[in-house]
Amino acid sequence: MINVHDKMFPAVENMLDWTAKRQQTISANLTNIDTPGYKAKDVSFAEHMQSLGLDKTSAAHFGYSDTSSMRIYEVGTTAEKPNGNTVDLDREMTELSKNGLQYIALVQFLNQKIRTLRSVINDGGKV
Amino acid sequence: MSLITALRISASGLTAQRQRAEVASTNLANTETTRTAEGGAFRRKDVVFQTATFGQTFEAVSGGSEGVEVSDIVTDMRPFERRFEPGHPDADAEGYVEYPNVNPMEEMANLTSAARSYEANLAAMNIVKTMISRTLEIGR
Repeated sequence: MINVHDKMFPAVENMLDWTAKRQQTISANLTNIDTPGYKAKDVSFAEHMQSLGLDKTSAAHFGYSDTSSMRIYEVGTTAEKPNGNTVDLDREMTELSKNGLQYIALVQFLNQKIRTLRSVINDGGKV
Repeated sequence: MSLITALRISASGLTAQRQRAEVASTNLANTETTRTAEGGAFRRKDVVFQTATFGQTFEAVSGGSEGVEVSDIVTDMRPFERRFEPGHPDADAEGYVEYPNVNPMEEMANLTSAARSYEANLAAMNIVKTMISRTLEIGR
């Protein structure tokens, strides 16, 4: 059943927020690729999802909540440069593309959901 | 908005790498300069990068997110290169001229590295720009 107060909206909103924050972290890593002593960072996902007040029908489903439980952690890497910097250009460029595409996919999903709702609202009463 | 902050972070990277390229260009241009305002031959310059915090805009996540800035431009104190040129006006009593401690090979490597890092920041910026424009189209 389609519902305007669908739980999907806050869930997607949350995912978008996480993806945007992650993009910020990846940008920061790329920016600090030549900064001595800088440690590459990432935003945790699994932990974030676990900590959410879940309202789900199956243990395999994701829930939604606020984004205050997101946490930045240092990426474990073996590629530490002599100046103590741990940014791996290849990893960051891959994550940059992946994360950007994921964001666009989420936006498209959200748009599709809104189109479906609009179609029901506008055309539902017609015979 | 965290995507706007991401743009600001990338912009700080562009500025810092451009400054680094400028310093490398200065070094390359002065590989043969034997007279400077401070007296003596030109001394090689180098940039020092440090993180610049944009903490308050990333309030929900501990640790903050960091851009980069050039904290200092330092002078390389490695010894000058001494060449035997008795006819040179700057030659000392023994006929040696002190030339800058600039190694063109080192500067070229530095320039290439700065250009690559600049490109990486630009790539990040372009993806974030796409993300922002898609966000503005939600619900249309």
